[in-house]
Amino acid sequence: MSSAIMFHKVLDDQLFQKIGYMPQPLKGCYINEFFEENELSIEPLEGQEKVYQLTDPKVHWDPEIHNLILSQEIVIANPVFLFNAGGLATTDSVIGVAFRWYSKDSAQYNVIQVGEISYFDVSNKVININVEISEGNLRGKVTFDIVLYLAKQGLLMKNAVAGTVLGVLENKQIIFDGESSMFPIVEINDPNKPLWWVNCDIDEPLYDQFTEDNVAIVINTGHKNSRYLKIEKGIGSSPILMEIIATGLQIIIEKVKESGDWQQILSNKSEPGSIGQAIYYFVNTFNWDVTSPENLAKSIREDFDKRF
Amino acid sequence: MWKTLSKTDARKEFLTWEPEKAPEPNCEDKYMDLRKRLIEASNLTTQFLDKNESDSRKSDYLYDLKFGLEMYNILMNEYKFTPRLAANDQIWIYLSMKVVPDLVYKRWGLSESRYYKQSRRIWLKTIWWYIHLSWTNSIDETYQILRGFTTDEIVQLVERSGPNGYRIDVTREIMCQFSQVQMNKQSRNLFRRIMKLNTARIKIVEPALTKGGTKYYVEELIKYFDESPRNN
Repeated sequence: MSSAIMFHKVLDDQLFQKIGYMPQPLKGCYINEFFEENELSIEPLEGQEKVYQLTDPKVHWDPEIHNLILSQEIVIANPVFLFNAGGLATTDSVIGVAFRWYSKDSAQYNVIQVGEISYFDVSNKVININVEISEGNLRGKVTFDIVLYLAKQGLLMKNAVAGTVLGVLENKQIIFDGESSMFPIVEINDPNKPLWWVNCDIDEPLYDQFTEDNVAIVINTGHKNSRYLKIEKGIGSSPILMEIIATGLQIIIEKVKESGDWQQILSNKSEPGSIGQAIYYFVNTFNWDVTSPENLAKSIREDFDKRF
Repeated sequence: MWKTLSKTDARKEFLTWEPEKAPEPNCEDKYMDLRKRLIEASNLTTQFLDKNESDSRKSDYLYDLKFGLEMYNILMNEYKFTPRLAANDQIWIYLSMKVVPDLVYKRWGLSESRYYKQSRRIWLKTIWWYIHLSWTNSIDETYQILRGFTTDEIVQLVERSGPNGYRIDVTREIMCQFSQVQMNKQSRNLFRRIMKLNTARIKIVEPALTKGGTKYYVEELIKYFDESPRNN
């Protein structure tokens, strides 16, 4: 096991082209407190290759209390090229497909087998990936990749043992919390209070975390008009909820602008996960225009109309 | 929601502490119950070690181990603490600087790195991860498995996380299997060598996907040194 594994062949660009790898988009969802399945949005981040942002259109998903179910269909058009001369394994071996997720921010590394390919498989081999990651695990930036590995070492296979990674079919990084994937929304139920308001308890926006502890858009489900919000349908299906969130975020940003840290925030000098970093992210990723209150109000809504 | 404290704020606060004096807690009221539980755990640990391990030469390690197990149990079972939270340095900095700074002081004095300065040296964080990466069924069983190790193994296990995070199935299997080997061999360097070999091998193979899975993979890691006298 110790020395032979050093000399195996790995997937290169030429072989990758020959096998015809065809992935469908990665889909994400979670199960909420009422055991309902809710879809999440996984969209590429502008200007960053292979980096995706995961958001919940209902602005409810929290990796601390909700699971994450990922699914993806992949097709390998010509699996036969993976075997024999020019391939990765002998014809009597079996090649496995595994899904890995790992993250320094989350301090975890996991791998799950999702499929197998043999020499005798027909063309257009379809593999369905379904992976559930339980709550309380994902944080920061997480890499997800799909790899080929030697699942069964054939008698003719001399240069690698079972478990050897033979190549990466695709990989992507997904950004979870700490990078502003969630708006800090708190629900309360009090018929004597207004429909919504904003709490701002900000001392140092460069350091204070972008969480309900420091800033929150409070929505009162006990208010007589709350039924019009249709919170359960999510921001994309509720123009009033979208207006509340847009206005709430504007109030937070205007409040932070009053602090002495504004220039440092715009120079990306904030700590990870802070209010300052969240604002920097909104401004630079979604083109929010913070030059004046009226420009900010307009640009937040232009952004929301595109995304939700 | 867990409170956090940034390194910058921790540094500011640390500079206000008086030399050679145990820092006092300065946390929100909602943390006082957790503080009480951790102080109790520390006292229980001291009593337990006085009673059961009084002739041991590695009292610091056994304190880390026993207190670590008690803290792990309290946080996981009473406070729903998760690995995701445990990966956040700022949560550990808040606990170290604001909630139980006197406990950190008792073990490390005013060593900045153990409170906030170096991510992998923050004491509470390090011992939580040491227990998490070694956990085997119960407090008692985990204590028995880890009892024969030393502070050197804490460093080896926790600091060799690599750039991509811990393979928890692998570390737990290594600790479980090595605890049996170590009793016979008394080899301090062997653990370090096994961890190094593991670091080299996981660049090529995925332990969970090998024939026989993680258990067999770890058996092979340990057996490698049995079969290679020149490497021993």
